[in-house]
Amino acid sequence: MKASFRQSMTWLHTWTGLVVGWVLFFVFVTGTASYATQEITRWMQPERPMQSLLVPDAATQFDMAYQQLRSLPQSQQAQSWTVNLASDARNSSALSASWTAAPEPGERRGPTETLYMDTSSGQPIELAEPVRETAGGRALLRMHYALHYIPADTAILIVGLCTMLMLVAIVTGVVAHKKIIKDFFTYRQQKGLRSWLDAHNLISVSALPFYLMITYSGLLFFLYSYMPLAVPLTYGFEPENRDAYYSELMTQTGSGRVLGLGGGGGGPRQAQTEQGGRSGREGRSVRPLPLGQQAEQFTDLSALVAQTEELWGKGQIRSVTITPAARGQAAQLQITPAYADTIRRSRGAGTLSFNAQTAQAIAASPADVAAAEVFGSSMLGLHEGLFADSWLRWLYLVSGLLGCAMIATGLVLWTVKRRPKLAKTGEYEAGHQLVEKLNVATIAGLSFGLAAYFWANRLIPADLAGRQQWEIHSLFLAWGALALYSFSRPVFIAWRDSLSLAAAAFLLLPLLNALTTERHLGQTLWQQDWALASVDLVFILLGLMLGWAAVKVQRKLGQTKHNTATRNRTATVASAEVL
Amino acid sequence: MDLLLLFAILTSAYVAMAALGLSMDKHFEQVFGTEPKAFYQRLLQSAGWLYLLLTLWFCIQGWQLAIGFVVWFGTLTLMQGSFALLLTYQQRLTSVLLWAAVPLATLSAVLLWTSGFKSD
Repeated sequence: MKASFRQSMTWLHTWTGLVVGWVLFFVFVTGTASYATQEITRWMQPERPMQSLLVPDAATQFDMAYQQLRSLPQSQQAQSWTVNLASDARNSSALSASWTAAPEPGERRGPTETLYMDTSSGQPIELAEPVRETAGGRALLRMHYALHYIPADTAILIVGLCTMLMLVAIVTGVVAHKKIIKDFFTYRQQKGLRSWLDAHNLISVSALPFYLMITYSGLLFFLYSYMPLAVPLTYGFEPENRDAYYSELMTQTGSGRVLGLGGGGGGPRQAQTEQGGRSGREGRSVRPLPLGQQAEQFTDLSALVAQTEELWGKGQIRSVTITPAARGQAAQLQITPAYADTIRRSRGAGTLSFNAQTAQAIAASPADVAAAEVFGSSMLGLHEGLFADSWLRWLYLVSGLLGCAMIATGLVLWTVKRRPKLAKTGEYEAGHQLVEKLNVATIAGLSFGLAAYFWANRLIPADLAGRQQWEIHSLFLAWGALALYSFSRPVFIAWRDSLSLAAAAFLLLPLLNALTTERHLGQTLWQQDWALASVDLVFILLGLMLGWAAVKVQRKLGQTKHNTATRNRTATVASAEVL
Repeated sequence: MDLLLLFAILTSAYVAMAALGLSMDKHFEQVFGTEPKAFYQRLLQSAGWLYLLLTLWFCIQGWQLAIGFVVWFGTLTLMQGSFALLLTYQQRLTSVLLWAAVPLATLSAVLLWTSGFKSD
């Protein structure tokens, strides 16, 4: 038992932080990258067209794509047509027409094909090469909660356990921080342990609301995995008991989906398959006309698009989706806004629906949801930040990076604090060594692995089958190789070399990009494709930060060498005098 | 997004963080070399809180209530960190920027107010 409450909390903070720090660093790094999922994927598919410089009004753009959808033979049998309009909004760099085929038996979604359009000529863009398959930003997104190489269910439990301990570490950290107000802006440089502590405190305090939110809300995503007995103990252990609970929950919350079932946040699996089965049965009995034929009966859709743009303002429409009449439902035209105006995680919020034949507006079902549902979906929404515009997205990225830095400084702090004591007593125990080495292997190693992920994207042949998997393997291979290296070298040398290597890998990425693609900074900045350019610029920034850290280590290494050298010299002089 | 609005929240968030920071004895002495007079301390504190609220008001006008709060927290995080770094590495700049940011933030507040927060 510790002497005071604060000391107990400090102890708890130190040890929970250490135990889960390495996993959390991985989760935070990949999670932070996930705030740029779409931008990363776009960078990893350099064949896709650049930002359209000319952005005509919504109806004109819609017409260009709609004509293609109506005339192309491949799109006639599709289950839905989607037109993504070019605008300043996120992931709306180019006008495109895409069509989704009916799902194969056993699949949830059919394959989608996309045609990019030139907004000036209204003709499809002939891509020089087909768009490469890539693991993209989505793989990083998935890794931050489901890890990789181990079953997702286990991984989710591991990450969940670490997240719970993270929440403990945050709360105890606030208690342990003696001068949280007085040191709100304090960083004292070049004071050894003091500086590390200041840095850790400052970084931890600066985005504290974000850390609390992200950790707490992170736990809500897999609510039922972490509390597997909560529902069965009340409702019973049979699958139908669970479904009874789900339907009761959905009636009471007034929501169409159940929160806490995982990343996708869809309705309960049972309900979905049931729906799928029903549509399949009815689909066989009364086969609806293909979308291409139904379109002959459609009203003037572009008038509806124009009318909506009038209502919302220019550049405010993200996409237009057309679904055929089926299962007694009329064919629909759905218009989705480019920007969200709610923090809630609610897919299709703000979407306007029209009957595609009569042009009549289809009223959305009244959104009368319970407070618990509003709270839950707001937390999940805050976690994902899908509502964030470009400025807020940068802020999310900064906060995420600060989170990575908080964990990294905390891990290093643990070793810095114990180093002098150990050096004095002479016992440099194995546990301490292990922590030092794991720190290098995780912090510098993962940074290098991440850079390798992007290198692999450019170096693996664009038409290689299964190249997505190899991109991910490259991340872990590079990480593993650097980890092995850092385990075999003295700690400071390992830090210097790994950090330098990671810095070089990031700094050279824009160059590699320029050598292998037409989407380098010279092009993207010239064409004002800021989203694509910013990916390269962030690589440079990360490289500079890692390089700065490497220089710091090198200086420290020089100092220690110098000190030892002087000490040795004085020792020699002293012994010579004695002799 | 409106550049004027972005400029407004950046300057006013800086004023908030710098004024609150400099109202602390330790940091005031670090920058000006003397202990702060009680009056100055009061003034800096009030200015800090005032511009903190002004920043929130900008955020809510620009992004609605819920998203506005998220933008507010994020911007303050950024500015708290920036001010702390300046305080360590460029102490003199903290006060220079503060004097520059006060009129700029106020001016952009007036401009936004008169234009009714319309971007066009």
